[in-house]
Amino acid sequence: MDYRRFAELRGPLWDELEQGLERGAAGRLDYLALERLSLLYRQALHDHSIARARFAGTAVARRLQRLVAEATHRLQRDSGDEVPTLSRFVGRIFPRTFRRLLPEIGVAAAVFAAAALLGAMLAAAEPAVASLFLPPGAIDNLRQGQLWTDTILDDNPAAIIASLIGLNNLKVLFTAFAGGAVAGLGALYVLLLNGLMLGAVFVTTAHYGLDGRLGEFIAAHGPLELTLIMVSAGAGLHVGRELIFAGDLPRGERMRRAGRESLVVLLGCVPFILLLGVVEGFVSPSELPLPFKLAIGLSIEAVFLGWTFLSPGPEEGS
Amino acid sequence: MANDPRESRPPADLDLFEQDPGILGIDNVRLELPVAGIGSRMLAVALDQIAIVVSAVLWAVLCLSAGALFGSSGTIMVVMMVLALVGLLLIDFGYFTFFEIRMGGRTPGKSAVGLRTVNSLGGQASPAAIIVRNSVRIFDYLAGALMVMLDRRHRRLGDLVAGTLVIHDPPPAEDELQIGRWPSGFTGREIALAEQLMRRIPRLLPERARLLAGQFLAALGRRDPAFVEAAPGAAHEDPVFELWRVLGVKAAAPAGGTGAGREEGRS
Repeated sequence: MDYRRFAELRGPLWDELEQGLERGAAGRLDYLALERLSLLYRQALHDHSIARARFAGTAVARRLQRLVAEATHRLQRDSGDEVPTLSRFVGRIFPRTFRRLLPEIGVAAAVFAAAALLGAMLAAAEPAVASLFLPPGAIDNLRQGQLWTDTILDDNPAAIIASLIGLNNLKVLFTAFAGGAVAGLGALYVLLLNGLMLGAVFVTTAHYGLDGRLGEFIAAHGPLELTLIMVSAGAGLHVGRELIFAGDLPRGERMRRAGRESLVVLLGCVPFILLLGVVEGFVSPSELPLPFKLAIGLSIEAVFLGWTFLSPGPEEGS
Repeated sequence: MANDPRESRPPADLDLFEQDPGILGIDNVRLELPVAGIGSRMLAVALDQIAIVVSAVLWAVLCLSAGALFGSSGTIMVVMMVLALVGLLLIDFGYFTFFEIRMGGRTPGKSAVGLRTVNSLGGQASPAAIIVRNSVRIFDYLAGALMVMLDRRHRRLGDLVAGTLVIHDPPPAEDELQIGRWPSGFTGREIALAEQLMRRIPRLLPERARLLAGQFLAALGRRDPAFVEAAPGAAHEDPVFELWRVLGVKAAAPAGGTGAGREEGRS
């Protein structure tokens, strides 16, 4: 087709598409207009292809490149990526996705347990190992029968401590999730670090006869905090697994899907990790009796696990 | 030889067995998306980081000043410190996500440089994709620049996991200067060359522009003297205006910066 004839024949359609896009941006399109727009878009795509092959670099080709880029940006969306309602997310999407990721979460739990065991063994052989994970001077305080948690509220009010803890926990969760993108190595790092820390610190405090008081401190927030670390790391491992074992689909597509699923699990954990900041700032350092703290810890753990395992989470479209 | 297989071989961009088919739109039509490279992306990130630091400092100063001003009791100061902490986290974590969702894939830094985030097909990136790509940013500060340099489509880690691309904004419509007439037998490449010259002439020094326009007019005259003589309108002495007349320059878009307007403005 001749360049001039091509531009004259198709130009009005491109003008119409441009005007349709402008009306669409202003939200003034009915169903018929939208259908017409989709036809014009398809025509412009084909014209773009012709112009690229026959008239590359001309004004018409440049105009079509701009028009197609703009129209694609306005009209093309990823299917299945719509923001769900809160009730659908809570009732279906999160429990279903969580259960789908159970194998990776199981692996995360196993790695964490192994790291905790290793940390305990290292600390049993050499108690000074715990100093790697504790604040400076904490070991000296342990010798004098004092836990580092005893003075947690001395310098700052509980509200600030709760905020700092909540923010730090959030960073840990996101690091574990994001670490999946580097073949799961970041998620493994979070699991190993936290597992080693838990094992080493417990054995060291036991060495000084303070493990009971440490257990009392973490009773309210510890169970769910450890669970959430394993869950977020499991979400990260899910992304890492899809990167390494891509299967039939292109690696990018597998990672994209895994990223969406892991994000669902991570977002479900966020309210709980913020709640744990409040518990750790206000309840854990308080003088409340151990059974009360334990009841709080087990209750919020039960709520989280109950949500994930007992929600029906029917298949979409069923 | 009549049946030489090389003659029936499809052009390179139609090779069905090539590894990367590019970005395919509806009906598998290949899209030409101007993917942004390392330079423009680093510039946009640097601008955004400056905005983040300035916002964070302003927020912290605002909260602490308000706490000191109204906080005769310790409670108000504590509330203000908590607000400061939460605000700093939101700025740090949420800046990129918030702006990319609200501004159609752009942040203030990307807007300044003329970039935007799109999905892998050039469409609007979903909120989920934007959250994922920005959650991974923590690792991209370590390896992102290298990834952008190595990847064929200049994707960082976050782009790979989210299925997104960063592209340049399309060129403005004013750049689509179109010629209205050309000698018979002109190919698409020659038309493109003439239009490119016409787009560049206004940006050149006047002497340089006249020299180039004169040379191009002479080449047109050698190729098809009748074409130059048949150009409508009165001849100009200035070779730039003369070339404008001979090629019948007009703008593709109806609004703004047309060749006709430019010609009237100069004459």
